[in-house]
Amino acid sequence: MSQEKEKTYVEDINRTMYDYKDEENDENFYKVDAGLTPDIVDQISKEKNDPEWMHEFRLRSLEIFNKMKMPDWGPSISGLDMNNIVTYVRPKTKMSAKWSEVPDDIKNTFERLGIPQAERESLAGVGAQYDSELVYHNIKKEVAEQGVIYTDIESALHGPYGDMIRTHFMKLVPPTDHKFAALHGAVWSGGSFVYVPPHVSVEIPLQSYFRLNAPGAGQFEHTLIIVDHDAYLHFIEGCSAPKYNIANLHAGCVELFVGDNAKLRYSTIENWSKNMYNLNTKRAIVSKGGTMEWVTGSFGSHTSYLYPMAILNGEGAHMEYTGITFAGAGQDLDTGVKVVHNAPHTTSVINAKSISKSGGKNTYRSGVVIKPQAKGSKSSANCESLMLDSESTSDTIPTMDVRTNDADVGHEAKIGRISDEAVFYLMSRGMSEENARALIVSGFADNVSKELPLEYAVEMNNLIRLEMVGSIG
Amino acid sequence: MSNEIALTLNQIHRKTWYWLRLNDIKLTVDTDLSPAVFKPEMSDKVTLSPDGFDIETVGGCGPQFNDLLKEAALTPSVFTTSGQSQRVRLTYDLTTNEKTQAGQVGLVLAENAEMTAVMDYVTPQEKEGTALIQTQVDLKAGSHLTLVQIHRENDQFRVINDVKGQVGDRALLTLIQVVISGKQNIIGVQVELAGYKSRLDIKNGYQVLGDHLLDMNYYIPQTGRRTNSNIVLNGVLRDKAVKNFRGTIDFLKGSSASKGAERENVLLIDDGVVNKSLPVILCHEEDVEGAHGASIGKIDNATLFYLESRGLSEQEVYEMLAKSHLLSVISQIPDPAVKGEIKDYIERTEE
Repeated sequence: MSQEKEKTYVEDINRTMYDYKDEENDENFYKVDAGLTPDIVDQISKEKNDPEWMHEFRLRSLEIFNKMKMPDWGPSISGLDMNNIVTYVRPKTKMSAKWSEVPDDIKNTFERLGIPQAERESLAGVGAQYDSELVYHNIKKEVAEQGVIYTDIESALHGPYGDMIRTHFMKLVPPTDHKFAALHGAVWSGGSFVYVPPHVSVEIPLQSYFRLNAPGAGQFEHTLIIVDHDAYLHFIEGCSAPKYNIANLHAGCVELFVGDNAKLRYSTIENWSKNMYNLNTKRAIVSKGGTMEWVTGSFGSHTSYLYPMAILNGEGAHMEYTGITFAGAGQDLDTGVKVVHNAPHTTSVINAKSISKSGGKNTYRSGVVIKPQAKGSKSSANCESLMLDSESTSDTIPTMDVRTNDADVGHEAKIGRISDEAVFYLMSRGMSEENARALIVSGFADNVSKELPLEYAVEMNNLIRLEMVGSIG
Repeated sequence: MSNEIALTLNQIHRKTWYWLRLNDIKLTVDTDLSPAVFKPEMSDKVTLSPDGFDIETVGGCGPQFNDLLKEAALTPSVFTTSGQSQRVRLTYDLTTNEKTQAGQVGLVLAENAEMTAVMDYVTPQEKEGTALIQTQVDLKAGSHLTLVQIHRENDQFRVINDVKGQVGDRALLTLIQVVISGKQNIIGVQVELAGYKSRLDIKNGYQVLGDHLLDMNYYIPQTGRRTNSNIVLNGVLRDKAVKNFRGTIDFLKGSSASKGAERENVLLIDDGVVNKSLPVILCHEEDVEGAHGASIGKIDNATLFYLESRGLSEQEVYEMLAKSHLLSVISQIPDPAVKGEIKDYIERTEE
């Protein structure tokens, strides 16, 4: 008697802990009107006490935004209407370096998310942003004594690092880069500045956590990190938001400068709610002998455009990208990576995975460019996609542009379901079919979690709880 | 006075970033077209008529190319057979007249028929020009068509080669394309695997020299169950050649238990070359297997060392491997006479 094959069941990501909503009213929150006008940009700039150059920069960015067209090559963002987005919302509280001074409701939200606990147990410093502003920022004394700067970017802008900020701010990602970079330039708020001096190794990670609580709002934080020569840093970024029935927008910007022989690992667990348009831009420029590592787990958002990028600008520079994207019902996640080899003997390694279920749409999109001067460079990419039902879609769109004969570029991609041969092999080793399939699917998602500190790997694995019944197909 | 029109050709089915400049190619083409001249040879069970060509279906070069040929109101040449082991050879003299030549060819195979068709693009005269050739394939159940297309026009000439059609139940289309020369070769293929267990096997061997351009777009929608597509390209780029490859395997609803694979091997000989590759897999069905792989660059050190240790110089190694990329595809031409002729042609042009 033939046994009807049952489909592998992968549980949807459990969002209960992230859907907690804090009430925001005029008494405890300040916000600008919805929409995007020069007056609103002026208001934001005034709220933030911008230096004049930044005020002018914002207005120029707004002009660029208004002139640029919406992208037409990716998922639809027709549900995003800037006239309905509130671009600046802040709690009426000052940023503090002590959790005890953070208002109770906000502090409780971060407690639920485990941020203070993580800080106590495993982090060198934390920045916690709530809507448009940071409410908490702290660095451990021993790390600060190494000369490491970790502060909110606005303090840096107004303080002794103002010139450094001005030199670097939106130079790697200029407002002309794309429409939402221009939007970011106009209304950015919050975010962190990190500087790691030469030869300093920050052994335990710094983390920023972004929480967008207000419905119909946008978050536009700016992260600027400079890792000087021969230094090391692991920076972790987390984010979440409660779900609403109206659109929220995240158009943050991350600019990373990796010095000679320095190493920077930038890890993200993205868990925005399913009403979020996540149009984030992350870019690194890597100097001679430097290493940039992207570790990315994308689980949230309604629609994502997310492509961390590295420009390998010095001889021997290296980039690694390890990522996993999980698209469930109602999600259209367009993610991937870009790398430009701009110097000799540069190398890049890409390892990307995706899981699609319940009508989720996954697109892996990449661009590997080897310029004529990048002689002796190598690039290798591997992309695997797992589709768990026929309601979902999974597309891979990788591009390779090679302009020198002295380069090696390889790319492999696979799409499909779990291999029956792999299951048979494990069963021949004494495993039950159910455990064999569970092991294979867990292993599929393991490439990112093993690159994270244990606490974050646990969080990531909690986001994906796998329930295996029978076999796929 | 010539009338020129700007065309957007070879559009990728799903766009990527514009800054990569690979979503399509834009060319200017003369709209004053004259019929392409070819010499046909065909077996006794092949008939030729102008009927049965579908002018509405779009090929890989895209809708603007199709519209241009529709406007030209050409008389198609449709070769039909129901026999086994049938043969058609069309040798095009693309320099017959001064105007841009255009032609439409249909290849229709009845159930269980079998045919090898060779389309040979030559330019006996050393002069510039453009030819637009559109080929439609219609394979009924159980049939097998081997279509061989050979680009060996002169270094001033441009050929736009558009292929379209569909493959029925258990039918097989083997498409062998060999690009030996030509200033610009624009190849677009869009063939639907609609039938149950229909198959498509594409082998393309190319060399691009000088400042020449090869631009390719393959779009294979798989809509039938248990269909199988396989695209393999082996190529060599020299001097300041430019090559663009777009290959899309699209597993649409209904294509369960299907497979699709793309494999590209590109040998880059000289430093001024430009290689762009965009192998795409689109998947709307769970129970499919899709794969693509690309290997681009120079000869790996281990292979180079091995062959040098056998007494070959580095240049000889590169020449040998470059030739092998083309010959690996030419050797699969089922017609021994054609195979031998093309091999000889390559030997002669190298001297």
